Amino acid sequence: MEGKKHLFSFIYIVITTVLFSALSFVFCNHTYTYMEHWRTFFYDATYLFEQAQQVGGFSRLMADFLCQFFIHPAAGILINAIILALITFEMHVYLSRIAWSNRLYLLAILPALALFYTHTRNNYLYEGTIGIFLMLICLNLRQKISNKYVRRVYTIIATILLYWLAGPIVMLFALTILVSRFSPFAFFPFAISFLLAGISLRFGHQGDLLHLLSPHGYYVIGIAVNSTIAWMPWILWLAILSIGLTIRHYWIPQWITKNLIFIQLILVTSFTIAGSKMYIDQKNETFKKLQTLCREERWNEVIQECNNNTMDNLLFVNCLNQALAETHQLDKKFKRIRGASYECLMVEYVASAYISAMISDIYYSMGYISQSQLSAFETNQQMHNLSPRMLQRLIKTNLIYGEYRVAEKYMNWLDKTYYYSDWVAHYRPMLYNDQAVENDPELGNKRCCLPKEDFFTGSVNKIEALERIAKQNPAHKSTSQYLDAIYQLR
Amino acid sequence: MKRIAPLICLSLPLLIACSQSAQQATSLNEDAPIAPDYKDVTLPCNMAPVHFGLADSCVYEEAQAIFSTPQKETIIASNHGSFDISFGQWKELIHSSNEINVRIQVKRKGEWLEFAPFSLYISPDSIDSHLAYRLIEPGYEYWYEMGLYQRNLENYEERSIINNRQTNNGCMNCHSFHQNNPDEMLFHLRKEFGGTYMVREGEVEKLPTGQNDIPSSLVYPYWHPSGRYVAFSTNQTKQVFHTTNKNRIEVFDYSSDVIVYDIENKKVIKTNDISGAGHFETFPSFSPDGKTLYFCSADSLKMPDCYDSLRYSLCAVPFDAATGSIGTPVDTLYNSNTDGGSISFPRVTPDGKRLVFTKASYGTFSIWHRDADLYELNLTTREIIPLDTLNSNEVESYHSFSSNGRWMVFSSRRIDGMYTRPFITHVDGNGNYSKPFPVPQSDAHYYDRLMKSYNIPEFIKGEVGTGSTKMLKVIRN
Repeated sequence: MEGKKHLFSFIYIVITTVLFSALSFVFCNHTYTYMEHWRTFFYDATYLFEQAQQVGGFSRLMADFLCQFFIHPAAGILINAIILALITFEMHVYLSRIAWSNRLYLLAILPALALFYTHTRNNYLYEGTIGIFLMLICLNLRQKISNKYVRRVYTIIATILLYWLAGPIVMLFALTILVSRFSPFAFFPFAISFLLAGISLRFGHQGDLLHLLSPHGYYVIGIAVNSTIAWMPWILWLAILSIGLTIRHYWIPQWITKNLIFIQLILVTSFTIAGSKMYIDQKNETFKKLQTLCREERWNEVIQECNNNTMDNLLFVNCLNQALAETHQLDKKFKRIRGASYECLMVEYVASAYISAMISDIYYSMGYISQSQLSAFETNQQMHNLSPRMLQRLIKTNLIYGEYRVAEKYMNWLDKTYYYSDWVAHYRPMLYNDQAVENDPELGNKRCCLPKEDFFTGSVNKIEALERIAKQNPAHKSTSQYLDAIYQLR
Repeated sequence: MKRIAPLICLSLPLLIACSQSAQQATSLNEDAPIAPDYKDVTLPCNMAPVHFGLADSCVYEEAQAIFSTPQKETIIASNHGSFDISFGQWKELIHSSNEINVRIQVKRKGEWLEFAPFSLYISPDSIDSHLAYRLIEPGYEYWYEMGLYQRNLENYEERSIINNRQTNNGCMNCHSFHQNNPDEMLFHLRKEFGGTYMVREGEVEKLPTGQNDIPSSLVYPYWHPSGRYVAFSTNQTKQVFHTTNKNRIEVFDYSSDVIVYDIENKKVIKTNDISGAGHFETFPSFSPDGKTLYFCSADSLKMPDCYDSLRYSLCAVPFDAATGSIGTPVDTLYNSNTDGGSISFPRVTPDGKRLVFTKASYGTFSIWHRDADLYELNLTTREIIPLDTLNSNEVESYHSFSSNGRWMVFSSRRIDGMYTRPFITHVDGNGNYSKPFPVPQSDAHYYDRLMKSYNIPEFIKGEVGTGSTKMLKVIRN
């Protein structure tokens, strides 16, 4: 009997892993790689200890730890699929206990699917997913306690612990307990959550309850949150719990109980198909792929990807033109969108850190180093100053400028990572070594782009700035590529 | 005995690990490469212990620091590259002597070597218990997270006074305290809850800026010693970015004027001398007796074209607190047009004898000028000297004094040229400055890791008593 149970669990997890892997592969195969652009795990005891002490710090560190592996697209897809599968399984286990029925196999997939859709939002923070997983573990452990009083003590401790470890998810924990069993004690976790949030407000950890006790707390601050997508996993979870309780307490028509599996299958399939269309922005997914390819300087693949897409999006066009510039084809194959002019080369409006990161790349390709550094710095600020992608850019630009102490500071951070220490080892010999920088084919060439005569970036327009750079360093071909494209616009 | 022996054997490794001893070491005759550099500094008697480590370039297998006084010796083994003396050990040392001798010993290839010893001097002068500052990334156009913080200098605790997660990510700046009093402060918010806020004895009030001739944006506040007036500057500020200049950023004013705000009557006091059309007036401060208003003044030039020709002189006008009037004439204490350079942040020492200011070769915002240094003007003899003990090859700027006038904190970017750190120096009765040191942190590598700059460090005599919750009630209304 135990053996059958374990076998069922194993099959359940495997099937849901395959499901989420397939969905990721088909609809958003660069979502997790793109997540890694903004965060990674730093193997620094002091930093880890500091982070762990903060509200939600543990889940943040867990998310960082997993995100470091997302640098490999396949690893990101698989790891996330396993996490979502485990979440689905834990949800199913809890639901089964609540509903007194183990026939609700598929219902638990719904909130996990909703969670999967949130992953595709650029500003979603993966600790939200870790938080849900921790919450489910706490819930299922709670269900194993038979003694009422021990369970109550556990609930109080788990509420406090969950808030400290994972932050806002404590509210879902409290709501789950309230929905699962409406009793006076069920309000305790609710009250404790608000008390803890109040303490956090008092000490300035956050500014409002929305970021302390709701899914909004798992999104990058300062960027608009799509509330529907943000709340969906929480609401669906509570909804399926309500369904489970309904099945347990009320009479259900026989035709429903007979066709329960079939009904669940319809629900899950419909939500998968409809949700993938409604909640996964394919243009955004293409942008993520292009950005990943640009970051890795796989210019021919960028061009190929753009050729396979409808080029009606300025951001795509920016990426394509950057790739064309880098491969010295921009003068001949400059891509324009009807009605757009210079924005085909670089958008003017910086809507978010994700756009300013792209702008930093484009300026870097142009050889306009000061602007590239500026954009990278601004982007990095919004990513708590530890975006690996931006740190790499800042290291390079500071080496180009000869600001070796600042470059070293950033290198010391990246050196504490698993995936970037080799990259750092390549650049570290250039510290305090002008000759080494100048001998480097990339950095040496970029250093020659630094204007011999200083000017303010706003005092000359971009065209004149590029003309100065191109005149000073004709060897930096992509600058003249961009200029040729600009002249075509005149 | 049979029962005790295993216990002794088990405890022995522990005992050995705990008891360090000074090694017979060969003298290296070179300075210990410690970071932060606390060699031969003068420390307040009530400050948290200094933690430091050996520079990354220093190669060793083991290391230890021997802190000794004539009565006491404490040996601290290197802990992941740093020597973290405990509070208890530190207290015992400073109580036994006002000079602590420190020897650093390192083991290389089995041989112990010793660097040249240095001293830590413990001053009987205490320092104000807290330091308030803003933490923000160094520069650029946008901001993300920032806040006003207070650090307990007697331990390592840092707490938020208010941060912008609480104000929808707006900008907050220009915090200032009336005579180092944590219960009387001002700060400024921009964007959604924009305005100047005053905290007094637990009550929070938004100043009626933008009404009744009171300018809407008041910056660079300086309290009159009476607490009734605050001098402000009103500026139209712009930030631009260099392409090649090592200074990276240039911040200048298109216009600026100095005004004095009467808190009691809620009105503005100004004259043409401090708010003239043909000049940029900024960075006001009062003398400790409140009878003089100091400020910086430059001929108004076309900006940004003439950014490197802009030079601020140091001026002073009489101020009558009883009548709330600004007198004449304007005394030019330093004429930048004839003597060169550009002055900012004039601050008179609490004893009223000297004035410390920042001087750069040109411009307004000295923190972005790598040549900015600290200077001192003797208010009696009018002699000006550079404070060479405090200056470095990088920017030294914003400075302020402790309530007893014995300590000065200032901003410096000497560590890496980019991130501003607070440095403290002791000022003796004769106006001599000791070697500055960075504010001690629990983690010796803290400044290497921190990705934010310290802005406007100000000593305060205690913790800010008014909580952010109370501030936010007024702010959000």
